[in-house]
Amino acid sequence: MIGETERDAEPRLSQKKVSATVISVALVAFGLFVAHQGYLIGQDQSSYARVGPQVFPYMVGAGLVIVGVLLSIDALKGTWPVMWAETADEHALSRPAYWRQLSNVGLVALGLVVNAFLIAPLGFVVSSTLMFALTTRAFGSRRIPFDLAVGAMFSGFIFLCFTYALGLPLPSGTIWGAR
Amino acid sequence: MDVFDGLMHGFAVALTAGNLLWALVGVTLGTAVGVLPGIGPALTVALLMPLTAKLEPIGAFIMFGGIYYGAMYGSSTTSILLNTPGENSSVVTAIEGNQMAKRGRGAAALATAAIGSFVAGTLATFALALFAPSVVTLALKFGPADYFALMVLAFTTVAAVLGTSLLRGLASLFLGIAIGLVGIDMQTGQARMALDIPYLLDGIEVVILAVGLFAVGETLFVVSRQKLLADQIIPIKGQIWMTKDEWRRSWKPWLRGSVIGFPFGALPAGGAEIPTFLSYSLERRLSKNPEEFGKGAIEGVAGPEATNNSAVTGVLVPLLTLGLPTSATAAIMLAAFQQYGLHPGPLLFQSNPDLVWGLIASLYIGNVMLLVLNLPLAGVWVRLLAIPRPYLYAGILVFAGLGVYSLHASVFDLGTLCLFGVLGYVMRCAEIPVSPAILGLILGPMAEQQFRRALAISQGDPTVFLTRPISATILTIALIALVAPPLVEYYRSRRRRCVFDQASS
Amino acid sequence: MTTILRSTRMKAAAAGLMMATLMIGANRVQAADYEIMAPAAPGGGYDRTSRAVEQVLKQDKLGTATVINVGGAGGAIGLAQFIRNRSGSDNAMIVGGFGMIASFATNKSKVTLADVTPIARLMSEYSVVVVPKDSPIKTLADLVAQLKKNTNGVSWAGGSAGGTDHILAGSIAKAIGVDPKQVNYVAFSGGGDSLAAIIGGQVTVGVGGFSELADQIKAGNLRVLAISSDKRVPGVDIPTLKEQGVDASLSNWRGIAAPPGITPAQRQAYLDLIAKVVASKSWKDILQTNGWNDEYLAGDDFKTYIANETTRITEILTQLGLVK
Repeated sequence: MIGETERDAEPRLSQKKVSATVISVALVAFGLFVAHQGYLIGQDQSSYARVGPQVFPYMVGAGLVIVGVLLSIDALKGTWPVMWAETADEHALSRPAYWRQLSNVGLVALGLVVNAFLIAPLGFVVSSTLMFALTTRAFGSRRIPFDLAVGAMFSGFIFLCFTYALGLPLPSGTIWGAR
Repeated sequence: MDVFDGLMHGFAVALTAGNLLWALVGVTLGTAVGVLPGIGPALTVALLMPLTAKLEPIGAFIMFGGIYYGAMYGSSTTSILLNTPGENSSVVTAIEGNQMAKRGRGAAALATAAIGSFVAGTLATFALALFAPSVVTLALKFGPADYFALMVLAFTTVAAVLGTSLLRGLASLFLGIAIGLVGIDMQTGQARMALDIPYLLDGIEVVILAVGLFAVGETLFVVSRQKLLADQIIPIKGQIWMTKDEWRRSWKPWLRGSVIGFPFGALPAGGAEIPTFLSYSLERRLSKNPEEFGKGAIEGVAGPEATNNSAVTGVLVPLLTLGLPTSATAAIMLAAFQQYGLHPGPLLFQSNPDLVWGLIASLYIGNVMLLVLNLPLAGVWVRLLAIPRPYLYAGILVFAGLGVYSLHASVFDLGTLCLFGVLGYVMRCAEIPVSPAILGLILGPMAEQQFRRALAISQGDPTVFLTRPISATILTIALIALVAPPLVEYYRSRRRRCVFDQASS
Repeated sequence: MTTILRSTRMKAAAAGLMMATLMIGANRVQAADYEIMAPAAPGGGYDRTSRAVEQVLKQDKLGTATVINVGGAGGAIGLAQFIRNRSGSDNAMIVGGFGMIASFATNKSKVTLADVTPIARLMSEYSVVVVPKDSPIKTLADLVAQLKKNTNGVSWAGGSAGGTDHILAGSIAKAIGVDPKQVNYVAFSGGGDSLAAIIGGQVTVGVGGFSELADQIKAGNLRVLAISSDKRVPGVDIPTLKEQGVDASLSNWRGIAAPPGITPAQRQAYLDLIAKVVASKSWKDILQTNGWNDEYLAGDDFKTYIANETTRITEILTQLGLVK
């Protein structure tokens, strides 16, 4: 913070504020959603116990709304630090560097999504290998063929262990014609 | 038969070369399978049960004992090293254990877990032999109202994991409880927050949230700060085994954990998660260095690990004395008993003393084997952390995905994992602690169900929580646990101020 | 130096042992001939039935099988997956039963047992109505009197709402002219929890599977009031509900089904296979050790039975207010 100029500090503070506010608004919204879900259950379920299935959703929803509102005050005051990416040298975190870091986060997240979507059609080994390589790439590795090979060996070994040693079949991929 | 004689007899039955081999095989297999993510003790025992089908009953139980303890310990290993808890009762272990691993004390964390498990397992096995019948009489007195009081007590432990900001800690807690509402309400069969998605009807597994928030969330967070955290993970720092200081700090938590865990395990609806949280918060309160908690305090591994082992041994109390299976693993063990035409229950101690005492002795043997096998291995496991960071985290993600997938062989769960991973990342960026959410998810549904059961039985009379002696006592303890620390702190600071005032005047 | 060497050697040995034991496991499962899906977590009734069939197939050399557990939504997740991935397959089976029909009705499941090819009902378990040993309720008549006087005051313990136990409680209420909706049913997770609550006297009365409760009854921890079978079970000295004037009965059955879209020849192959399983001595032994009743009912008869059960169960659940 020491070497930071006023001009640099301003936008980052506002960015923190916006992020924190968005999070607290999300909490309030989620709280309202939870309470609404409780409302949908209706009231006729609690004839003798008095406390039916809708009571806890109301309480938790209210809790989330209250906490969210109180946190939004912190957020607007700017006392709540929310940073999506950082580097060691904070004042050197130029816009491109910041976005590069964030894009790496996106890469790992993409790996997770790829794994979830492709595990059924392509099988465990292929989807895990892709996730593996995307993750190593995000962590700065440049040896993509090597990483793919490592990932394939690793997930291949796990696949064999699970399917043959434990009798817990992992998906082998529907597009390869396997069952 | 006298307890001591019985135990000696049990050892005489169990201690043969062949049986020792089965114990070793059981512990090895149990650990090996338990280390795999998503395969908890219950599934491990179910998977390996056919292996025991051809053995004599006593050999089979000895192998079971080994598998049971091995699987428990195996899932702690991944909690500590990879931050991917394989089952609910090792979630707490991940909090401090993984921090220790990152600071180069992974081997010490694994060692304190192994020795703590051994100590607790041993003590609990003795307690099982000595007190099983009397403990179970007491345990049966617990009704829903009393369990609800226990949940309230457990909720007070949340203070130990709230972090720096009360509000943010509470946000996390409420988030966890809200996630716990998803699924069919047990009392009325109504679906709640399930959005007409059949996969959500059974609610959300704690392990998915824990792996998502801990392992996946952290991977995303580390990527976003990779230059900043460049040299964070150190495989081994200082000596590999526990230092003298770590021994000194571990032994009391081991003993306390053993004492806390056993009765919870013995309670039909007690379980192993709640006592691990209680142990964690107790150790934090009693520790001379509470500021280390959250950064890798060895007490936070030693206590909960001893507790969970003690609790899983306690689970055998209702199983053996009443034939009540109170956990998934116990249900499978019950099936194993029946495979041999044995019916655990009030009559088992009289009708098959050989087997009962043999089983108790073999649990003990399983414990010793666990220690023998895992202490040397601790040094091997931590070398995993020397893997270059890109590959370590990529491997963790593959393991996390594998573990969550193999829970129910469900792609939907993998999607949920992505969502929770991103949530974990957002929470870390916003400095919202993740542990309260997991505590909320574990305790919330239990507390709600017990609360509503109690009110149904009392036909809506809320005074039931205060008129039942057990419930009233526990609620009082909870109140003290909540109010006492701030009060003590207040008086201490006042006295300090007085001293300071006198000194300055 | 030597100590370091020794310790590494020890570690290598330990790691080697681990691999070796994994290998032992590896021999266990080669590519199996059949896949049996248990649409539930390990440990429950569906899982045990699946594993029992697997065991018999292996012991009688009828083939090898892998049991896969796909739990969720009372079996709907597993069933949907089975229909999606195994249609037309001649080597896949799924276990189903009474509980699945009930939960499909409550959850308005999109898939039902009508979507697969029923092969055979395999077994059943009866439920019993019990009270704690020192309860003032001595007979079923006492319970009926209490229920008529103060329905809400009688708390029932059993498994989750809308399950077998709840349905029996509702059927009893209906049979004696009490509104099933007014039954004060307290749901517990798993057999152990509810059993503990009954033995501990936390509730007035409990319902549970006979085989699960038999030992407690024998040991005198529970007093049994009635069994849910239609007629007296041979060798079991418990009066039925019907003979005590309460017109209710329940048989918690489980059966096995093949995928949809199979040819008549394939269906016959499945029927033959299961006929061999239930005829074997190892199957009879399993029925014996588990306390299951032999209720083999194959092919079209089983199909009709499923349809009738679905109607009956849905009707009771509607009266309990669980199906709208």
